[in-house]
Amino acid sequence: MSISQLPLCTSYSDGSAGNLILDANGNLSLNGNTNDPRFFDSATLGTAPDVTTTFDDINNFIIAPGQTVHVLGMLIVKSKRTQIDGELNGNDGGYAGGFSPLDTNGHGKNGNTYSGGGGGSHGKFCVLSFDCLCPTIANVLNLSFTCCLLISLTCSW
Amino acid sequence: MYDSSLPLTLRPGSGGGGGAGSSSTNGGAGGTGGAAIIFYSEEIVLNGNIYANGSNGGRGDNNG
Repeated sequence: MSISQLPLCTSYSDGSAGNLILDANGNLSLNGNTNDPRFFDSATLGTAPDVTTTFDDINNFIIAPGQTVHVLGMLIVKSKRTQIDGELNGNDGGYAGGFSPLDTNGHGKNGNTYSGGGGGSHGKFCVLSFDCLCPTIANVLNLSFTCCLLISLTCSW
Repeated sequence: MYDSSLPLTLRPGSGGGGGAGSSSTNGGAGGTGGAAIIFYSEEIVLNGNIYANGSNGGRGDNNG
């Protein structure tokens, strides 16, 4: 058996929490439950713009074609498999912007236009890929340790 | 298992500041920052889209 045929032991999830799905009918559910407290509403993951929400041990995270899951704050999904055929939309999911300074009459005191401020700074999403050496492979390679290796990290900026 | 001690910092974007109004208008509201999203998956299939952008700020009003 070549090394390439040996099983890898990467595991971010044991799948025990079931499937996190927005189905073709627009129903968001986790393991069949549509009322998870981490659902802001029937189509939004997360609870607030400044809260990190984590879904551990997901089996499949699936967004059906033509459907959109919205995101508030920071979202971490650990799953065996993620398949996004629709959209995962975190636009407007972060902190709200401030107002311009006001004078004593409650009017904007700086500038001379009606224009609003610029858009918020971008949030980010990352796709991480890890791999690790199973103990058997480590023995074959005469390594005295097993570890997870960060193979790639891709983020939007 | 993934190593949660890895130095990864990611947080939702902060909104932009509000636009200034004139002497007779209120400033516009600032935009809203986008969310932050991380996947830890053994397999990722992306056929659709992922967005995490902020919105534009609002306009100043004419209530002065």
